[in-house]
Amino acid sequence: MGRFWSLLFLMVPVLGVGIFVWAIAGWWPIQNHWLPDNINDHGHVIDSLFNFILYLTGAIFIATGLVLFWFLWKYDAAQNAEPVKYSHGSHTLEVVWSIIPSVTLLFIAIYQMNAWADAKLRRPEISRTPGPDGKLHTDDDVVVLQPPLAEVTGRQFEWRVRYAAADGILGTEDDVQITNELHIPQGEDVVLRIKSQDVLHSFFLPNLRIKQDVVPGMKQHVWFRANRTGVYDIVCAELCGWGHYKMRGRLTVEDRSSFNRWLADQHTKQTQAEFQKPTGGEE
Amino acid sequence: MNDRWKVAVASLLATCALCAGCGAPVAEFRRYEMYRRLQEKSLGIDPETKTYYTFDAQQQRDVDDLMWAMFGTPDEPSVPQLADADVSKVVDLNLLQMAAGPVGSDETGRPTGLYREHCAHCHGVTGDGNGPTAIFLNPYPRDYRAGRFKFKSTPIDTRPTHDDLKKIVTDGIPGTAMPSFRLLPEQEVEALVHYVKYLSLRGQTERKLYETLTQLEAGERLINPAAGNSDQGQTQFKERLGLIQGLASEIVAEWIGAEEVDTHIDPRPKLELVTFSLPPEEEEKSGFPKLKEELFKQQAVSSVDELRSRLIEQLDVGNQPAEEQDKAIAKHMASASRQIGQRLYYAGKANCFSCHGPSALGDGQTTDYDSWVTEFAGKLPKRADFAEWVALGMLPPRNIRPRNLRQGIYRGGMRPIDLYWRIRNGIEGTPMPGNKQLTSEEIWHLVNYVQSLPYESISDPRMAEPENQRERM
Repeated sequence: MGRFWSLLFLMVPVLGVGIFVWAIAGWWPIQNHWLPDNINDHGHVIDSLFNFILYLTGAIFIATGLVLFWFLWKYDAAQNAEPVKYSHGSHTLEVVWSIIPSVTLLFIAIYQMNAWADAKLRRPEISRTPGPDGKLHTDDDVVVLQPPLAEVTGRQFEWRVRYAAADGILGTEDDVQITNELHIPQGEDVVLRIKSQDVLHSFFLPNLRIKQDVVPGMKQHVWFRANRTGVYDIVCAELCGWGHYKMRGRLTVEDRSSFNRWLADQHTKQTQAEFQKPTGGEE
Repeated sequence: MNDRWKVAVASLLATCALCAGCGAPVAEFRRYEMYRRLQEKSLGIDPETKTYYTFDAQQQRDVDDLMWAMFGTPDEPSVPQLADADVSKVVDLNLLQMAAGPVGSDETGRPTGLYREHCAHCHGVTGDGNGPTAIFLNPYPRDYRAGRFKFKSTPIDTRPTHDDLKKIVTDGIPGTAMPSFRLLPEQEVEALVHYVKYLSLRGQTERKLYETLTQLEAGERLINPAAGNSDQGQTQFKERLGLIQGLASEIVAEWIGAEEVDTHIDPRPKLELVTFSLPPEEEEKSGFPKLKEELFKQQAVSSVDELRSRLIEQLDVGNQPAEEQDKAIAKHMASASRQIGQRLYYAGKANCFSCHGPSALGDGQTTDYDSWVTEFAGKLPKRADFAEWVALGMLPPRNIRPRNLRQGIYRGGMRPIDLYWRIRNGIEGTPMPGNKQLTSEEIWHLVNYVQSLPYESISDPRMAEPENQRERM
């Protein structure tokens, strides 16, 4: 029993690493618990950042766990008759273990800046022309940003989607409105406007590596380029109330022509101005 | 064994016991206490005790037993077999079982308990609109037991069609807490709709039973199965059973009848000059005679050709291709149509502004209550009248507000046919009346006007919302 605690604490790094390896390998019973398929051109940047930070913190986690185990094992009370010695610490050691994390954090902060700017600041542009100074890529460039394809409004507990549709302008009479169904064209830059009707939500497209907190009173934009067709999840990643778990939507990535067809079809349904009972007779 | 091990083992056992020990209580239907009280009050004051009559405990037990015999329990629902009406046309027992019971799945992997998973927390196990989360919502969830539903294609005092309820489940109700269940498989949505109809049938039957109680002598049993010993008791039992089945049959027949109600809507005439040249017999049905008359009068012309050339001149599109000319004329016609709608809005046969307000903000009247309140508390209830009913399960009443028509949020759906039905049929249980006097053409002008309201410049809230902008890198 003497070394019960040291062995128990050794389990922390062992199980911690074990679960990650298990999940990455996708063994039973935790298949599909690692990162979902990436369908965004920009997604690999996010993934490599994630992996870099995971391996870095993973290495430190293992080292800390092992050191903790070693101390518990070596200085177990049952095996050591020597009295406890107190020290006032080592100045050098403290300087070293303050500087190393600071430098590491600073490195990460600088290393990720481009990824952040691509995801949050450099919204796709339709055109960019030189401003009064006659030079391109300066602060006074005349930039036309890509308008949103659709506006997604989070609401307890659903996603309401409003497409700019034919005229390309949101908030006009031809907008197509539908709930929980987001269709986007494949292989094109897509900009979405994200809003909330009530509380904080977080608009999360796991396969596109897009996550944006939705703040009431703010309009925010996300953009991406989906490179594979298929049906994917939209989820809410911010606890927004008791029904948070059911705040799911369906993202359909399809080629441009089927997207246009779908949108036109929804518009036709939405403007239905005649009604006749279906005459299928009695079943 | 050392103490530490003992503690570890004991806490493990305690955890297991905790996890296994707490099951959910068996779900039960709640009595329709409010309706019981309403019926008791309808009998007036008992001169001896100087209080309202009350049904006795045996009578209440008879109602409970009958409800159980006809409709089963939340875990095992059933529907009564009736001679005069085919219940299976309204409620499919097989689908009902998918929606009923605790959340889970059966041996074949088919989900069960869908109602409790998706609906019961707001609408309540009984469908009384009083689930645990109901009190936090505005508007409150629907109480199905009266059989009244707001957003449907059928007129007031008829049941909704199956497709009406299905649309609400699929699309949700924008502007309320009712979410969309679009992503559920079709069969599960069907199961939920059947369960809603079942709860509604059940509630309506319960109401009828309490109404029947008012016709009995004090202390007389509603039904007495133990009376079989005497011939007279037997006959009376059979008679009563027949009566109760008859009541249930009437309710079921109403639901079946709703599917037969004529809800068709003639196509909205296109805003093209061609619709003005229809033969007179078709004009009433698929044209815009009133709009034609109006434009003829405005332009002081007497033929469609004349009108066309006059409009082209007026709109200054003479030197543009025919296609552009048609577009400009359609735009002019749309605006004329909206003007007719606007006149109807403010006066005459529609008179919408008296409730929806002079600027259509839904502020014309704000002190009414819906029929789920007025049925009990009276047509013009005072705050003090509510306490009695709140004690019996009514949620603290809130005023019913007319829709703000400038937001473009339409609870019953945004399709032109939805707006048409709302104007033609009214909204059951609310002060919004149906309007049988408006012609189909007039309703379409109103729909055109109402649909334009959210896009008038004063309706646009975009200027008030700051965009999240930052310096670009």
